[in-house]
Amino acid sequence: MPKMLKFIIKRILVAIPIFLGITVVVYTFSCLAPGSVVDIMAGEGNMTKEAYEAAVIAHNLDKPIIVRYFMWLGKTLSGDLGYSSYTSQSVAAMISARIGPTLILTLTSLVLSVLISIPLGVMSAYKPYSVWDNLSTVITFIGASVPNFFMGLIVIYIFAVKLQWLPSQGMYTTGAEASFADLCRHLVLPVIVLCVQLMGNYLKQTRGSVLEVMNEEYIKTARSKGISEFRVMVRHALRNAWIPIVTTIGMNVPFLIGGAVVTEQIFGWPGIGSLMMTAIDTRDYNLIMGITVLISITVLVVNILLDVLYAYLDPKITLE
Amino acid sequence: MNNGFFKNLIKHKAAAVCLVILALELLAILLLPVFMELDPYTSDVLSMNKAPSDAHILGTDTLGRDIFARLVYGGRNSLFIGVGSTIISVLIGLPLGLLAGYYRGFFSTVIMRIADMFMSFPSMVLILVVVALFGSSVWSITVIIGVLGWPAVARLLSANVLSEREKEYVLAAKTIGTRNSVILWRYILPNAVSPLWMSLAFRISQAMIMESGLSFLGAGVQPPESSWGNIIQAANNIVVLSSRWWIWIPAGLCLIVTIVCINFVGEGIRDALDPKLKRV
Repeated sequence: MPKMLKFIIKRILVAIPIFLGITVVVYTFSCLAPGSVVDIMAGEGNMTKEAYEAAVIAHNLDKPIIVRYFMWLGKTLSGDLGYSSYTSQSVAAMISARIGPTLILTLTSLVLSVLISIPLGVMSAYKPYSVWDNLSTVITFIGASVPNFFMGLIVIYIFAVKLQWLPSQGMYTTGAEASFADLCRHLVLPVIVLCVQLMGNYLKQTRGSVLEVMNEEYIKTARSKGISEFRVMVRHALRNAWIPIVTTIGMNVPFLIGGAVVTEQIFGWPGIGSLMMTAIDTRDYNLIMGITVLISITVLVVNILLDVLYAYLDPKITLE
Repeated sequence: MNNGFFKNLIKHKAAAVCLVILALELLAILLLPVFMELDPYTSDVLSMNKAPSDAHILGTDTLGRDIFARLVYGGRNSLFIGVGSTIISVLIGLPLGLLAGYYRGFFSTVIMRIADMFMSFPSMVLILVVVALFGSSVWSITVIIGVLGWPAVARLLSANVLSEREKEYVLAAKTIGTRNSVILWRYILPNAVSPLWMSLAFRISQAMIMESGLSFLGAGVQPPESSWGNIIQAANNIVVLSSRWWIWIPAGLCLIVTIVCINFVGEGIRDALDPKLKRV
């Protein structure tokens, strides 16, 4: 499909200036931050004036900011994110150790919330004011009005403190052997919190767009042909209601990473979000910049994938 | 907006009740410190972590400060940040959205691409970075949340301007030689702006949720100042969470009730402005 290929290349070309824009902003921020690497080093021990100046030259701090930006960009693009000024570990290694847990948490929540809310949303559009519709209204309401950290505290209070059914901290029980069952038990509470928040959006969107489609002529046509209601809903109604639902899911990608900061922090989940909080607490600028670059690349790539998915879902979209 | 608008708003029963609750809350937050002796700052070392009593209606926190006083003053900060940041978003987003919708071409492409850039990045992370670098206070949080909110406003507006500018009254105005600035401000803006009014309430509640989350993480309103979010932060401690409900539950309830009410009022405003949009 050469047309599709052209479309993808075009989207990538559009994403590049956005990525560069983000890196410029991020780099400027890091330079505005008080205290350079050398100042931090000098603060740790007695440094002679010569050693200080040598260190300034070694870290290229004598060069103009534009030159330094391009040097930093070159290093970043080749995968070298520098070293943490707090732990002295390589930033790339620190980040890659944390990606797994974040993906486990966010993807589980994303998949579960989509799997639950799409059928539920379709049901509540199909039978307004039914039990299903009321249930989805309640979930939407909670998702929109209860801040996720408070929701997290409430579920910890109920399920971990009072009932003592589930663990509330970390990924595995400390001291015990890491097992899949243990991981699942630790996943339940943070996933509930993320799911409720995501499902609110998806339910509202699914219900709305299916309701809209239900009044279309082709639904009547499909019914008049005598096919089952299930097929009418899935093959005809849902198929046409997909686009806004996918858009909503796509808009949540930044939230999944950003919202996970709060959720990871409450549940002591060892992911990117809690690494970010540690980096901020210790003023570890290299680490902050590394995570920011990683997140912006993720978001841009996901956006391109979503655009491709739209084109696939809706043949009416012209690839321009 | 005419008299019919207010009548329609009152007709929406939930919205009317919520409006009353919000008004009472606002009065309490603004006037209670005038009539009562409320001190949210002084630690009473002799009565730390005390359950609600006559001396402290909602008890005291881990530092012995009066929870009720902190709730009232925290409410001031939380609401200020919600409303203030929304005003900032509108002040930036409204003109940019108007211009980007009316003047097609390079300018609008640049504006909309920058808006994309802002919207595709997790705002929580961006705010945390900015706060880590430049420090946080009630004012800086208001400004940051406000500035990050402009793309949504600009997008909403430019989409409407785009459809308005093709209408005949614009063409008519152009043919008699009306200046572009007059067309935009006098003719197009009033027609394109109503979806923005409808979304204002939701923006305020979203900003309040954002602020409380930041303060909960310790990156928002800093002690000794209080906000509903940073009062709840005490519940990070398992002892507070499990056995001192009076420290964190009231602030959470205040936050939820306020957000629910603002959202309902927003829905009421939407229905009142455009009865056609009612939930099917």
